[in-house]
Amino acid sequence: MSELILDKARLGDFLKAVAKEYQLWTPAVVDGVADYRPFDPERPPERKIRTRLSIKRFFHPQRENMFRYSTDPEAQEANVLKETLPQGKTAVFGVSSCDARSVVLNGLVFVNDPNNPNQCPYYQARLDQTVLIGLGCNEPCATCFCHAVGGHPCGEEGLDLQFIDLGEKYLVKVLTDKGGQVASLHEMSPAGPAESEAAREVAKKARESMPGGFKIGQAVSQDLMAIFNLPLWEETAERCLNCGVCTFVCPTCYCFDILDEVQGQEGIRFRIWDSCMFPLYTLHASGHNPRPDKKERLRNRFMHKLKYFPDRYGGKLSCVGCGRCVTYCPVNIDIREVAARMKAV
Amino acid sequence: MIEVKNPFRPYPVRIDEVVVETNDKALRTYKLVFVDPEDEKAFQYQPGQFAELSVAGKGEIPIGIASSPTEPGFLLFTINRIGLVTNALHNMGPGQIMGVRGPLGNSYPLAQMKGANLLIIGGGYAFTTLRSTIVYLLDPANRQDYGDIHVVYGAREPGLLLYKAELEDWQKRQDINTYITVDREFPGWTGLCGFVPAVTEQHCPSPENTYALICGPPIMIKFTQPVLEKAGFPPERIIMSLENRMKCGFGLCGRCNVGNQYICKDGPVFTLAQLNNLPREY
Repeated sequence: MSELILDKARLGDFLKAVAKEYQLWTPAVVDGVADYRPFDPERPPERKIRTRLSIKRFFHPQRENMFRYSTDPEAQEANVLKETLPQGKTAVFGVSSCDARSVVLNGLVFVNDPNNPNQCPYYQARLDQTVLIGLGCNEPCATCFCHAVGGHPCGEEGLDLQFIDLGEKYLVKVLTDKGGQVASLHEMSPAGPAESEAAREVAKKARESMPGGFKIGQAVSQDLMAIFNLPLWEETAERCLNCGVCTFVCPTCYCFDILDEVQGQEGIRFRIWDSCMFPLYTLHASGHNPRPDKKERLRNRFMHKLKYFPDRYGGKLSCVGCGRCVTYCPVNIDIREVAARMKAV
Repeated sequence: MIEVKNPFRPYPVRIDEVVVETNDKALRTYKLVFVDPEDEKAFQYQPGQFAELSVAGKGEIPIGIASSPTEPGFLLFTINRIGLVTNALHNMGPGQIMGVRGPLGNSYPLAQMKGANLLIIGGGYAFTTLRSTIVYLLDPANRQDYGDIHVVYGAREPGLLLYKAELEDWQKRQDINTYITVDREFPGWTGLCGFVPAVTEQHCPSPENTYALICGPPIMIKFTQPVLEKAGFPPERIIMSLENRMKCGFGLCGRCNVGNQYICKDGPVFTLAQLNNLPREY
């Protein structure tokens, strides 16, 4: 792993060079909303911000076209589905460590589950075509808890390049071959021992600034049915609106629906984000619904993230501690408080 | 770049034959033939598995495979007319092209049950994968691997029983004990009357070295389970097939989970012992 130095004044030039080879996205505040936007050379790159939506969409877009077909009976191979894989190289700059980790965790389900012979070719294609350029967090937010779920404010998991803010310059860590190719698009000098040490110090300080005392992962070792039957769910669900914003903004909520759409005689089968907060998600054709009420639906979301997923994937939580659900929940349901109560008394 | 097989891609199949199964015409059995023989080779299945049936422009539905791997050359699916895709299917006929994706899920533990007796209990239209199992067991290549076979199958009325010709054949055979019942007396019906749990209780074989396979509506399962437990069947040998709403069919899209298990991938077949440790979200 090599470490390089880029002057902050040259960041714009670096991004321009990347944008020549890749479709480049950077964080930007537009109309008061922080989100990833196509790179605009006229707009200076934002300082570190947390985007409202995570980078989930670069790997699992809100809508992914999967197949096309013709319903014209005269057409050759009428009604036979033809695969449409995503095309094009994408680079994302300014990715936080928590978001980058979500790509790895979701990848366990989509492409890296040793117990599943089926893998998702759409997720794999986007993994192959996307380069993630991280920017470590010097000052984690009050709603952040990446350190309590197995991450780190300057963590490297899932990233191809990692930028660490050293004040006047960035230390650039090359983490993968793909990252090396991107770094080579613009001249950078090798980092010296003092600069490497300064980057380690930034990471250490960021980590130390985060509060302790979290019990996010305690459900993992609890008996499934014991925590399933806690009164916690009834109480928490009283104020839940089942609006689904938590699942929408969550980087590790990956559930989807598959739908068909036909215009004229040209059809598309696509997948689209779905949410376990919605009654239709589990409604049987018979009218029976195994999770009929918001209590069952809210419970499923927390149980999935903090118990069911870890049970399947070696104890790893399906949460990266980004804090978006905490920020955007309209009734202030806080996963940190819920997790702390997921314990059989 | 890694070459990944696309598990979302349905194999093109042609509808070969449609048989109306029930008097109300709501259930029809579709005989499907693969357009490409290579696809048929790739589709190696076991009784108890299901597939996603695909109709271009409408969508997909998960349906149990009613044919048996001992019947090569085609697949059978019995479909209730109830939603968007099934309504579209009921308006399709021989010669038309649709899709099949699978096989999906686990299967009845046929290898594990070798040497044992079997009690097969079905109700209503949830008899499809049990038909697959029975046809498989009665195949001359397999029959000697198993002990006594008992089948209890019931429907509300005679006109709602599936696979009537085969039921009659099985009733004539010496190597399978078949108890066909309807909920209450019906003009012209000379067979058994009574609900499936009651008929099971009357004709229940010894639980000694016997597995019970149950597939039916929730109410039937609810009342049959205590009958089996009372008869002495341990939960490890009570085997059930579950259903939930599904989309992907292999553990990605999320919705069919029961606790930490996905019905589509870890099931649909579970033992009662497994289900006793899981939420009843099915």
